[in-house]
Amino acid sequence: MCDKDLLLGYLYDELTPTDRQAFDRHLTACAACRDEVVGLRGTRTDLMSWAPPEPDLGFEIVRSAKTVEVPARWWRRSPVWGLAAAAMITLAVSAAIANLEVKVGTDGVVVLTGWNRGDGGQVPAAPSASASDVQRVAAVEARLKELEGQLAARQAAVAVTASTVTGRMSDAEILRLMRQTVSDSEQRQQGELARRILQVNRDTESARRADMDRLLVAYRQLQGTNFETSQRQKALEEHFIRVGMQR
Amino acid sequence: MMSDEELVARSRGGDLDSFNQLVLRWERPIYALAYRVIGREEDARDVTQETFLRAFRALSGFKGQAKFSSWLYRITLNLCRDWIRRERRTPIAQAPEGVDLVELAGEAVGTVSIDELVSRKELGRAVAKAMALLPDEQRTAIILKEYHGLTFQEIADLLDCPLSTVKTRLYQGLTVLRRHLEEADVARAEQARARGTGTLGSAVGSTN
Repeated sequence: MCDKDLLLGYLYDELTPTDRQAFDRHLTACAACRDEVVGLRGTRTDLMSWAPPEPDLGFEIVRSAKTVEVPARWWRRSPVWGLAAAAMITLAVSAAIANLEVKVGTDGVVVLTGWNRGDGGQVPAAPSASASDVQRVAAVEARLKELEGQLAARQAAVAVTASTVTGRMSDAEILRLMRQTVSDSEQRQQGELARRILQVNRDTESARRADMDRLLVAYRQLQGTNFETSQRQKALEEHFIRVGMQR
Repeated sequence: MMSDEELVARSRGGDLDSFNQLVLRWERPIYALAYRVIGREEDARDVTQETFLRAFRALSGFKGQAKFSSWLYRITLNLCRDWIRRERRTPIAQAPEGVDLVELAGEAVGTVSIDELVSRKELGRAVAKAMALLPDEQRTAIILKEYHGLTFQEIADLLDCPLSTVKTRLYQGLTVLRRHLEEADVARAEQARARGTGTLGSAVGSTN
């Protein structure tokens, strides 16, 4: 049985140089301890990935009330651009949900949000009606009937294809395929959303920096103006004092 | 920069600014300790706040017999122990399954890719879950050693137990963590294979 105290001291580098050398020699001869040292070092590396969430602290002891000043919540302290970014994300997510579309085709089930659609979910403008359009309406109705006929023919063809497919696949397989397709689609959607949020974050950050630069310039200008104003006031006061003294 | 001892001496002389410098210096480590022991963000903040309040009130009784940081750690751990008793529930937040890419993207800064974020977050959650399974004593010893860099002797002094006990707790805790984390690693690899996408990140692709 090997000395676990020494192993632990070796792992955390809390051995005397003599003990360390002795344990180094032991490791060359003991495969079990070598394996344990390597394994526990890996565990220690893994432990470093557990980080606490970014805290909202900023405590301060204040004398008068003998209480701790509790900082405002993040949303109260957030700058305007932060709130704007949050609002944009919320709007984007809402829009995506509102534009959700599920397509069932021969290649499976596809879930789409507005972002993935080429047409952008545009609504065509309503045509204006007039008496001269009656003839065109009749023509459209005829075309419509023709299209309905074509559609019925296609549906019949699809029914045949479907029955052929179901003949080869069990219900469980179809269900599994559908679930898989929906799951893949969800992952694609989530990835797309994540990428867009990253982009919004980066855009917001660059906008924030630009705003800060502008604010700094404006502040410096204001400081310069204040200095000039105070100099003028000072000169004016001196003038009045001089005039007063002359009188 | 003034040492903790100097700031403590000034604080004891009535200099509030010096004490607030100590607060600023130590609030994050104290919050991290409280969060890892009790696992709840808001409660960890409360414990942090209460730690500094108590330290401020008891400053006249602190004679420098231990390091200021050790004294703060002791107050924090006592408050955490009270919290666990009061709440009568297992500490450490239950990490939800899976990784929310959208949430991750919101947290992303700089040029870190989604792949890296997913990998880091998944491992972090696995560690939090594995730590939650440890007995309180083992978990506390590991937190003080791994995340606060205390020596075996400092931990023994802080927890009022023999050096050998500290070493036993650390060794047993680490061994259990190793097993859980290796199992979690295998499970994650199997899930990735079952998805048929290698990793979740590969379905998303790099953002850079």
